[in-house]
Amino acid sequence: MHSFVGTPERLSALREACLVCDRHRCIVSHALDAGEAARRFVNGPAIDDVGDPLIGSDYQTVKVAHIIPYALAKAGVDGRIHEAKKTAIAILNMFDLGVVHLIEVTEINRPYNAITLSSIMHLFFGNYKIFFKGTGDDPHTYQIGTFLHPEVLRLLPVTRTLFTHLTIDPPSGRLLALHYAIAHILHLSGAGDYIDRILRDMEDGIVRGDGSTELGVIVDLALRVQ
Amino acid sequence: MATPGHQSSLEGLIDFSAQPVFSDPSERARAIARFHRIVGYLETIDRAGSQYNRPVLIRLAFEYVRSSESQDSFLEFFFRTLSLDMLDSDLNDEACAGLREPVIAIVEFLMTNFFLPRESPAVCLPCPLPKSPLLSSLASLTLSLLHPCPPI
Repeated sequence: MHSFVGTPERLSALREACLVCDRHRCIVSHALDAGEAARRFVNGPAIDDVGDPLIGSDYQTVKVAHIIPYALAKAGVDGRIHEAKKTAIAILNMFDLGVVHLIEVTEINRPYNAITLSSIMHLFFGNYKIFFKGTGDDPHTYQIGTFLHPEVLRLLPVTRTLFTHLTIDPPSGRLLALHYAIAHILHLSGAGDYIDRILRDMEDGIVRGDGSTELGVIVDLALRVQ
Repeated sequence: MATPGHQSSLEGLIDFSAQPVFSDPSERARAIARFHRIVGYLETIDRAGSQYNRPVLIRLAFEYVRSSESQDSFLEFFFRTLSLDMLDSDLNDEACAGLREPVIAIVEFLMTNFFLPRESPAVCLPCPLPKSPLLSSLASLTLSLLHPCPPI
């Protein structure tokens, strides 16, 4: 069964469900998907998912993204989850006992593990620079904050109540809390900056003259993907 | 000094039982105090340099786990890896300093197996052409956790 985790059909179904649940809008900026808007202006009716006219709306490219990356549960070409991923999942489960049942195998592609985000929000959510903190007032209301300079995402911090749907699960508060925890561990320890720097060096092909390039880590990573 | 050995040997230590870790709240409080004593001391002597503060990461990891049951499992993993009893009496500075190496090994285990890149779906992280031969094999790396999967 593991080999079906990331099939195009499953991912397509997840994308559709998530877009419907989130009303084709980025759940942070509330901008409507530009492609969907373009289709509605051509084919009509030019209204959003709750029937309001599109005129005057903000449009952005929106993407559906996993909260916990599906790479964790994605099988190799042999159809098995490799030991390294099992270890990563076990560590994730140590951070929140029992959460493994929400993300193992095909569960990782459930709508509760997905959110609709604009491209820029997807980028910064994926590298843990923005985070969702439940307000406690409502199970689907979050304050969305960032570790970035305030000028980068001037919209943040902002409080949003996520859309809900009769038959589609909204993004899981438990998984968003796990994302929040990882984001804060990385940021407050400096490990996030450390990893960012390794990745920049890798991308740029830089070996610093002062000896500060983490060549040991980089070589180790190279060996792991061979 | 207890040493956890190679990082891969820690993998078996994160398989938790369903049994309660502590028999009563006072045991739990003692274990937490012991954890903070060790990590707190190591935070003061760790020289991060250009890297992150590794003892801080292990403290934060404990503080940000999601429930008391998760914290208990974290403590069980921490002390089992150090081959230390969770409930022994307090440690002096010298004893704490002697635990630096295995504590750092735990942090590096978490980094290697959880936070750092682990596979190469090139679509996740389009990279410019690397300039260094050493780094050229890394062009398609991405992170399992720190970088997003490609959008669906």
